[in-house]
Amino acid sequence: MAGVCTRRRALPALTVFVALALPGLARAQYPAPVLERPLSAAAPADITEGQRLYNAQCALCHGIDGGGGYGPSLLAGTFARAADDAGLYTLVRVGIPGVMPGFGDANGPRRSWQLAAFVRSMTRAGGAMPTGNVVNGRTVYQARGCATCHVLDGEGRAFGPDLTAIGLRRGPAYLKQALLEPAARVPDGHVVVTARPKSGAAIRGVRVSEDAFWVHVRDTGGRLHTLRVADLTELRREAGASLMPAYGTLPAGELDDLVAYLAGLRGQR
Amino acid sequence: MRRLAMAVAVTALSGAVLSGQVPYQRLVDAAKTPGDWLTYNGGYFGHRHSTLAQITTANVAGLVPAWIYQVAGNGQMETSAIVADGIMYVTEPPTTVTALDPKNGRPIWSYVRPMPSNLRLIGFPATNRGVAILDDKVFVGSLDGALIALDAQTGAVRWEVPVADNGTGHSITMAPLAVKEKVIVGISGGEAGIRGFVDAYDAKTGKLAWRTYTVPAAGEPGVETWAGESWKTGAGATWLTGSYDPALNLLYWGTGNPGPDWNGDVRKGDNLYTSSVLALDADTGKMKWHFQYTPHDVHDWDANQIQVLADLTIDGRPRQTLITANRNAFYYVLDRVTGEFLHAAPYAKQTWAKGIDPKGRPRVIEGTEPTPEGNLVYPSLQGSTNWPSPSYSPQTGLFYVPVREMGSYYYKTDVEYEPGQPFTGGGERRLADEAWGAVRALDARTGAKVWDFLLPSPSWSGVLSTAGGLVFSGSNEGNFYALDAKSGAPLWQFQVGGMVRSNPTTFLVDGRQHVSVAAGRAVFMFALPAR
Repeated sequence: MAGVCTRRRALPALTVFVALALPGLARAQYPAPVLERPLSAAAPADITEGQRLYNAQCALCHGIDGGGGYGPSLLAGTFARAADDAGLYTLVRVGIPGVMPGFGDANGPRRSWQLAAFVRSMTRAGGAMPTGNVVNGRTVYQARGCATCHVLDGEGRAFGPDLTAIGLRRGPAYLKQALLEPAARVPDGHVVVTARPKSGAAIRGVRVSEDAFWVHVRDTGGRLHTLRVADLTELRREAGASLMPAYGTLPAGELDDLVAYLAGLRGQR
Repeated sequence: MRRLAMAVAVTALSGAVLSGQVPYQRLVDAAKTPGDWLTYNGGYFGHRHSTLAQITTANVAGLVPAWIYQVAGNGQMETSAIVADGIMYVTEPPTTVTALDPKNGRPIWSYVRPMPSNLRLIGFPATNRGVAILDDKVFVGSLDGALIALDAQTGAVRWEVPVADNGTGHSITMAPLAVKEKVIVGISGGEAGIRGFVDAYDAKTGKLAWRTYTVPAAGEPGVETWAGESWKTGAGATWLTGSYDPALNLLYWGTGNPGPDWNGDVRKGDNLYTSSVLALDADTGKMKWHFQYTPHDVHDWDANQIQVLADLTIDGRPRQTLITANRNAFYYVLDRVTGEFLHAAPYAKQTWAKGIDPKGRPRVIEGTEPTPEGNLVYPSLQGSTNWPSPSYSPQTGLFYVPVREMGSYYYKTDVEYEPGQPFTGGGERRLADEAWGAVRALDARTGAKVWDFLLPSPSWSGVLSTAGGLVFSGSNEGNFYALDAKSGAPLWQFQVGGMVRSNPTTFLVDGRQHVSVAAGRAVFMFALPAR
């Protein structure tokens, strides 16, 4: 009880301190943004309006599809400067001083919320809610050997993307497509390359890093190769290729169950 | 009197360093005094070529860092250093000028300009590309739209003038150009529906000497190339440093895209003088001629690239030319006296034009404009090259250009002008996975490719060539490197640990050739080991 009392007493003092220390904040034209409804509550009309605002205000730097340009990609599903929905709502209103303009003045609270909801929907958009059985999906994940290449909750081999919180980044439609046609949209950092050294066998794998003089390739066996570009006769980027096998042969029920399981993964936090 | 006494004291304190007197004639002769680096591109002709030859193809492999200066702030380092009389002037984001001792990288003074909390940067990062120097002052444009004159020795503010209102999206990122007794400055804001202009200010007082708009107003010639009142938000920003021919007394200034960028329906017509080069009388700002590279541009292909001035033999005849690699993927040769179109050729992948006709007008392929569904066109929105400086070497006759090989799906959306808000009408979806880059050497007379040095991603680094037979440039992945200027073979590289998105420079420090580049959030200085 004593702790609670102390905290209550301390609060006004803290407010004064913040106002004094950050005069810019004290006279900012933005009241502290309060997210009153979760972004997931957005109706299709909200998303449509959010997209219109996005096209006018955000597409210039973040790409019309959110894939990035002058600004970073918004398709990773997690934002370096906004840990949660409230943070995203604040970001589109206030911006980042000296880096990104805020649009709170122009949009007002309602349209800012619609804009944030659209940005949030960009990675998870597409298609109906999964119909599969989550518990069965977990069994499929284990039985079909997904852990051979993916980490989930700390278990498995790190070759493909970590799936621990994949449901935060990808919606059911994307996940289903990724299972049926893995090459349709290769995730960032998983470009497939073939490097042909002047002597020795060609190396095919995922490009871990590449600059003008060096390339690092992880082959399907997990081995990391450090190669000097000058020692290669060819370094071929395989646009639209993926090292993940396609799972079109899964029985339809298993596929839906797996999608449902993956779409529900929200991480350990 | 008191001020004079202080100035004398400062000069005395600075010891061996001469007071920073850089009269106009030194700028005219900059290419002949390669120990300094006195203008943005090392001389009015924009060659970014140095006649220094201490560092050569034979010894460049021994190049090592001399020092690294790290900056504190956020934002993007795009500065191009000015070096005069033993002081190196660099800029840092957002609008900070720092004078460094080029011997050891220690700061002598800094001018830090606080930015308003509601600063508007519409379509570009918080950055600054450098200062201009004239007499005893250095000049910097600010992100909030001002031009500031600083004492070159101490950093004291001598004067400051508002150039344009940041509330309507105006901003300055470019390095000004000092010519005669004036400071010439352009403006950013091409994605905010501004009306572009080039300004000249009296270097001593800051008084506006002239302003030339890049978009004609009602009643002026050229306004008929704008439907209705669309000229009012016609953009044509002037956000990169121009070139100057002292003998002709002409400034050559590139202009940016028309506004809105990707929806041309609301501004039918050629949209003069956007995506063009303007030849302006340096005394009056009067336009002597113009040449429009991309009439009715709908892809955001600004002509804000360096307009390089070179004397070349074209078709057996000596010509005073203007040569440039444009964002639209074509290399152009113009007569810089008259503006006459002489030649053009594609230098990178493009899918929008069948070629350039004998008058210099592109033969646009139908169906290459942005659409609501997206339309794949090469090059991408950022173009086949962008603001990073190319280099022209009179020694090799080659034009070295940082190349961006990338395509984009271009989208068109509805658009409405709101002051201080983006006014673009669409956007792009980049084909980033298959994109790549290069330093490409072109025959300066024809634009024909001579060699490529390949890069993993589209380049944002300028190029420097030297009489040591070298070409210096950088990569997004942090490589800073030297190539053989004749063959493109790599001879040296250093991993700087951050993106190289600036222009290299070279000069003498205590009689020894040094090479400098900004990368990541630092300035790097390289030299051969002292004997």
